[in-house]
Amino acid sequence: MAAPDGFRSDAKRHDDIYRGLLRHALVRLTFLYFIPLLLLTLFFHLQYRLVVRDADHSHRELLAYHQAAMLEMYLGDRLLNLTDLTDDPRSLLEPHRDDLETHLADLQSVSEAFIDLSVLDGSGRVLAYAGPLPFLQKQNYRGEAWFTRLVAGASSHVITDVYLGFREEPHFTMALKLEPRGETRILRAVVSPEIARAQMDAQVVEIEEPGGGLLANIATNIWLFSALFCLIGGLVIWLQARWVAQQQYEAQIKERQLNRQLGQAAKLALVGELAAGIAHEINNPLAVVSEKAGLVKDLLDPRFGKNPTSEQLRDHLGIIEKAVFRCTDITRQLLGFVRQRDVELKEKDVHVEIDDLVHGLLSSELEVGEITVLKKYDPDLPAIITDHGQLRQVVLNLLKNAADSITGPGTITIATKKLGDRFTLTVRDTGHGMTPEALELVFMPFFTTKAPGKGTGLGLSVSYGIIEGLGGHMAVHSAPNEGSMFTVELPLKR
Amino acid sequence: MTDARENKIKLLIVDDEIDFLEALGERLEMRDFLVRTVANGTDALVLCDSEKFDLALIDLKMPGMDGQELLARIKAEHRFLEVIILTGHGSLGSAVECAKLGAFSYLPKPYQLDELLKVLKDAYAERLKKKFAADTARTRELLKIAQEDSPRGTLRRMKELDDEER
Repeated sequence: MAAPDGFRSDAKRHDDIYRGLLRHALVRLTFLYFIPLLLLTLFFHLQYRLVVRDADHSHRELLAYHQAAMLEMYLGDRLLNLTDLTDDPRSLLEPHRDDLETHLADLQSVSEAFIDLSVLDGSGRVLAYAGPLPFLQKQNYRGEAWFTRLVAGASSHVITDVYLGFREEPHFTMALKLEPRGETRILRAVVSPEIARAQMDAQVVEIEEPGGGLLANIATNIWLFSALFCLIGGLVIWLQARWVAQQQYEAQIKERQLNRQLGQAAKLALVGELAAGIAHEINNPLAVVSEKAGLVKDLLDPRFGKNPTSEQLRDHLGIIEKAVFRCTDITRQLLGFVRQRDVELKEKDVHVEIDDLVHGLLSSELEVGEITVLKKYDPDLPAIITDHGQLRQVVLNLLKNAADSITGPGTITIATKKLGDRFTLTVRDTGHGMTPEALELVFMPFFTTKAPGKGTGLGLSVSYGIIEGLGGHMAVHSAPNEGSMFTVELPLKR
Repeated sequence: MTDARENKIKLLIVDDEIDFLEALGERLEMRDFLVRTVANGTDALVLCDSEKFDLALIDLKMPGMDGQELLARIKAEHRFLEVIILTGHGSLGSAVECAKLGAFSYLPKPYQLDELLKVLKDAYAERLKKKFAADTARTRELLKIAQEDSPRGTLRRMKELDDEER
């Protein structure tokens, strides 16, 4: 029941990993592709806007110039029409409304742009008026700009710009100054700009706007292209992100599998090393047993004719018994070392536990290496509640490393110290120490400075994990040729 | 008495495990070996200089000078002394090292006594073979010198070759 659940959660976890990778790849690729694209688009868009504005401006300028010329020509024509009426200037001295009406009709037959016609005297008074706005008859034009200009100026005619005037409608005024018999008479005609424009348009050959349409097309096209590009880019990004995520995912899964296999191999190597160590510890007393038993057999063998005393035999058998218990000691300690897997909290004196290791499992190794063990135990340290099996494994590992680092005679100092509700356990050796490079890697799995086959490089990493698991910390100080010092800090009560 | 000593194979046993050392020594004495036992490498080297041994049994793991170092130093000074390494350790790495240094054999502890006796016999045979070959070569050399050199020079050279045997 547990296994399928495990698989399902595993699959779900893998799914999450894949999704995470995909999201990551998508974001990265999007930024990678679209940021430059966006910047380029913005840049070209701005450039384009400037170009369009310039083109538009010159186009309008051209148009205005062209229209002005057209208007000038048109108004010139109209002025000529008006001039035609002044063949006999004396008729303007006492202008009659009916005559004016006729003239207006004549003018309008030439161009409908003529709205009305009037005759003014030198003081701006209207002498006669023909047209749709009779109230203008009573107006006086003395104050009008065009009037003063015409009366004062040398020119005999004036054409105004479009203005509102008394009638409050846009119009041109064109006026002629005549002086029959010394009297000043002004013939004024008003031209409607709307009609003028309509008439001008009829004459003007339609000029195609210079590229305006094309530019506008480009504007819409750019957005269309951008949209298309984004669509295609998005598709490409999506596909590529999926591909990248898939690759990374497979690599990760492979790496996990490899790690798992490596872990397995490391465990096997550890077992192998342990087995070799155990073999040595057990084979030596077994060899004693074998030799002593053989000796007793030989002594009792009539062929050798030794006739041993029972005291001699008892001595030999006693040594056999001792050797057997040496083996038992080793197996028992080994079980104590291996057994604990789950955290098993017990209240025990750490000092007794350390002594047990130093005088038990490690005694022969320390003796062989001519290593002196100094103990600086804190007498105030109470019994500790922790997983002593695991702590024992850590201390054993530290002591073994310390012993291995010492060549020739040396000293290992084991110290404990109570610090509030925690305590420290320090193992210091007079061995060869470590370089700063080695020091950095010392807790990494598989890192070892020992010769091939002498160490798995797992001891310290496992120890580190155990101490962290027990709510503590592990630290190291070391320098080449100055020995190493490992400090384990743990709570008094787990 | 001198004859009896001369007829026996002279064997040196080096092991830090005293109980083992004594029992094995006693049993091999019963089997007509002339046995000397020491508990460390330094004592073994001293003894090798004062006495001539045919064979040596050396434990690999000992405090101070270990078996491998002792093997190398013995082989450097006494090339006809055949060494058999004993060890309780199961690894093959040290066996290869010892073979390179000139050990005749490598025997894991504990062993059957017959096994040890067979290895000792083979080691002694090896020693005789090498010694015989060396003796033949030396005899040939001696004869050559005797034919060529002046009597005084010949005598001095022959004495040198005779001393080389150790």
